[in-house]
Amino acid sequence: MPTVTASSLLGREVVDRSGERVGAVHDIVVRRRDDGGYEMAGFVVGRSALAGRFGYGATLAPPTPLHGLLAWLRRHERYLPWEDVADIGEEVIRASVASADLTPAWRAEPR
Amino acid sequence: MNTGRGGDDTGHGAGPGLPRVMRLGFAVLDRQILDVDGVAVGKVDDVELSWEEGRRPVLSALLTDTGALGPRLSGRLGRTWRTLLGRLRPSGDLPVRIPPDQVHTFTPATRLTRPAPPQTRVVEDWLRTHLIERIPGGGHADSDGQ
Repeated sequence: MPTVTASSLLGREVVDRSGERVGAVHDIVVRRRDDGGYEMAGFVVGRSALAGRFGYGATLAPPTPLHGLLAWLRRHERYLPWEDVADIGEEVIRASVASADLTPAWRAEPR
Repeated sequence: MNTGRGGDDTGHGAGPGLPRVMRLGFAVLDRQILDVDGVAVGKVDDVELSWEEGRRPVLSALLTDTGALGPRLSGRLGRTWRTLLGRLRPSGDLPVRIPPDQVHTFTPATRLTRPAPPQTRVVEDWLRTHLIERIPGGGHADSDGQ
């Protein structure tokens, strides 16, 4: 059974179906199955990981003065659901859709 | 209720400490691991995903102990780290794998449902044997009142 580590996926470049760069993998989203296990749901892709370094890449709400700055830092962030992954290569992850079709919100993942 | 750190346990059927949806980087990687007795046994140094052909990858193991850090360090430092830990470890099976069904909660710390695997303390064991015990009085430093 093929295996991969999360650390080998984090930072990997992501391109859309036309080969245009979307960004790099900033995080991996998993969801819990009915049997209790976790399966891959998708990738959080972006160009700047700075907001995430401060801990504001997920659900933690930043202080009000930082809202605008962090939103600007995360303006390129996109959520690539597993269904839209065409190929996971050694160097690049290729999406099967255009980057414009990717939603910015990873929390749009259905639960 | 948000975990506030990359997980969301608002989903139906999730356990109290197991979010329905979570980000591995925020909610799992680098978290402290506590065994069933609350003893700190290391950190989640990596996460293994595996899959069958045509299926989604699933979270198959948490990788821990300092040996798992090697692949996360790039260049010469990472190679040196892997070599060093490979020599220190008697069994040679890098790194320690913890199945996800042994996890009780992920945040704020990864708490296990059973005692930690014995291989998670290879560096501490080596230091105790080769360094601490050679210090005069170090052989019983854990005794009461020391």
